[in-house]
Amino acid sequence: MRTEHTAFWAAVAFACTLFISSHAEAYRYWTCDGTVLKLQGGGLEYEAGTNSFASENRRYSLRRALIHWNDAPSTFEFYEPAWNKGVSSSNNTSEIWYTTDSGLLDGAPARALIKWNCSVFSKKLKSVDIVMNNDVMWMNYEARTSHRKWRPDGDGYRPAQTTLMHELGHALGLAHSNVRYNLMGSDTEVINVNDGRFQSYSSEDPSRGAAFVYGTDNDSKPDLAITPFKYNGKSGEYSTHRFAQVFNEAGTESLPWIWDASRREWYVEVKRGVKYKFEFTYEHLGPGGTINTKVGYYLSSNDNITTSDWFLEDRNFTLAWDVPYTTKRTIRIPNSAQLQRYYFGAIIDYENTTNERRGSNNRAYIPIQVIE
Amino acid sequence: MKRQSTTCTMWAALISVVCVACSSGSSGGGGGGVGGTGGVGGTGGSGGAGGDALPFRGAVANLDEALSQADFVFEGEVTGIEYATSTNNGTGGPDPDDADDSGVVAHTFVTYRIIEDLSGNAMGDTVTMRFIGGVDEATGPDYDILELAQAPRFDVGDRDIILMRGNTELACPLVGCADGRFRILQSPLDDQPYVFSELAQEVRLVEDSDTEGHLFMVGEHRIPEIFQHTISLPDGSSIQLVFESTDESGEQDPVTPALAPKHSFEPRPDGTSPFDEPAEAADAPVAGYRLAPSQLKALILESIANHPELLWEPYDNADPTQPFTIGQFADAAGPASDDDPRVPPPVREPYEEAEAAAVEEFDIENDGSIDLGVLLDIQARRQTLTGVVETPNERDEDALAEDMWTEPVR
Repeated sequence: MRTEHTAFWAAVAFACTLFISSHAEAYRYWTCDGTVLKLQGGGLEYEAGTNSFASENRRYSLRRALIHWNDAPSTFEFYEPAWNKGVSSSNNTSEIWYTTDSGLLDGAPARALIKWNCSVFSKKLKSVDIVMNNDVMWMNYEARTSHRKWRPDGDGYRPAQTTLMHELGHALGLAHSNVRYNLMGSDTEVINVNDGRFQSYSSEDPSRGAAFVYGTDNDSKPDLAITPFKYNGKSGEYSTHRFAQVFNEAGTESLPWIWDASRREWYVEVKRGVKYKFEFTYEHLGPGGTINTKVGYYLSSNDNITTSDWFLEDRNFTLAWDVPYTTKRTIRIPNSAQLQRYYFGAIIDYENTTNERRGSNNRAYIPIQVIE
Repeated sequence: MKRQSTTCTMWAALISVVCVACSSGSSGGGGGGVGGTGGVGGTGGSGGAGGDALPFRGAVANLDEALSQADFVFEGEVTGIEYATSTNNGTGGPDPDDADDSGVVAHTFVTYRIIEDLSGNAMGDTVTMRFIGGVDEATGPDYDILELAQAPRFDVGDRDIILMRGNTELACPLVGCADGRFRILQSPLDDQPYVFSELAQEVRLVEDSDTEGHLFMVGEHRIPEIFQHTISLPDGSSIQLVFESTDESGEQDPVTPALAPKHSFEPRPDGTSPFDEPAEAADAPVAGYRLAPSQLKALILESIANHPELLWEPYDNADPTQPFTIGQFADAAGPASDDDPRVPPPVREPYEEAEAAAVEEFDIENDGSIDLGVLLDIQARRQTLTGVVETPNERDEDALAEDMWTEPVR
């Protein structure tokens, strides 16, 4: 079942979106003598360092980062990288490699070296080298329990995919941004999480930014997403992010998070028959105008949220492609719930009424322990 | 680099500065690790899913620690910007796959007139710092300009408080790169000089329950000196670079009070902090006091005075007229520490892998099937990645799904 719109209302909705977005976006970019600095040609094939990408693990994470940027509805596309290439910071080729050189990185997980020109002849990004810190504990795969967000004892790994996506955002011409939940801030929490895994994604505002810089791929289907993370604040040029929260019914107090070392997860304690406000971040990743959709809320006995789980309630949402929408919804914990660990799940577009380009980013959860 | 005369102990956090966030939003302050990015609970990456921390804490580094990483701390004014390229020393290039690789890298030399020597080890009236990136004169008239993301941009006449570190060794010789530069600008709010970050965020002093006070960078303003830069080219022309921000929320930050100019850093008789006014609003994202340059310098001087173990030794001064080389940035093989051995990656048969990937990437019907339209999308994306154009009508669904996620043939 998919919503049909008349051309008129679609146009009205799109116009409204544009109007709203002019005051709500947060992406940043550079102009030179009035021209937006961006890569030319509509696509880019990165050259990947021979040594750095000898392992299939690292190739996997780079491919995933490229694919996930290609998933954003801009007209720009990254191609399959050229492997086994020599690299240097002194040429005009966009290359990517890992190094141990502290002179360049000075402890940073990665850095981007951007070469551009701005003359009467051309105004463009010529190349963007991405240099990753080889001394960082990287994870190339998406196992949630390896991610440092779920390793509070400090033995977690930094996800290469999110870091690469952040740097690739620079390659697209996007600068850091610190006013919204977004990939061009702190990248490691810009993920969707379900079923023991996480996946990186461009997030709403950079998705919009890439479409602004390169044009919108109007042939792309729209995409909706949900994440258990939200904007937290600023750290210099970067936004910082944190887990969304659970509040009492009045919304005046947040429930304390409790660490479960055996399951490697944070949870909150709740009571049967009591209403709580559950917070998530809902996103419209574009393209197109406003989407009316429903979010279904579930209780699951495991961290794989599906429509087969215990359905509780649903809520209507109207999402525009502009900035992420972090909000709370009040849901009662059923009286018939058992005294056990549940996963309070949310599935955006659970009735599958929107023809999306990706469905795997539609689910999120918050672990809860029913205590009485 | 700076060294300390005693073992670097865990100083009590007196004053902290929101720091760094090198690439990808992590702390890189002076070799500072890849750490915190708000933390699970917004507590500077220290973990904890709870979150009673201040809303704008983020990755926090101690100002004392930041000063311990600095080689030279001063207030100065930019008086000169010059460009020079590194010598081709056979490292860091040229790329053997690229016949056009020059093997040299553009750098910018920024000279400051020292207005006030805060660390007491000035080696003259000026200091010149070398940053990777700049105009490559040899590429004119269509000049190539290289820059390091997150590195600061300088214009002649800029007035700053600088925490210099690793000059001539580091690509960005500031503590925490852009975060080691405190800009002194007239506030658009009251036209008085205050301290701003590289990106026009007000530097405010905020108290929290753990420490006497923190320096936070909040409340961005559209200050032309920060968002517009003029780059002078060797042929006498110039270009205007503008940092475009689509967000206007920063300009709506409430005006926060300025710290009383004659404040004391001593606790009040009742033991409370002199910064303990006014109360922070419950949901206010911005609080604290805007810092005047004199107040930040007072904080720095006090911190230095409290740590006599720091040795402020001679530092390197950069010289654009002298040849120089840079590091290799060598392509390094992945260490064994890549990926978590406690959680091995899933092993799948090729087709299962393809199916799982398709499920991840594309919308799947509720009955678990993949419709032909989705498969065509898969095929189109494969074309994007591989450049291989195929005729979808000649392929069945299973073959399409399988092809997409097997190793592309180049």
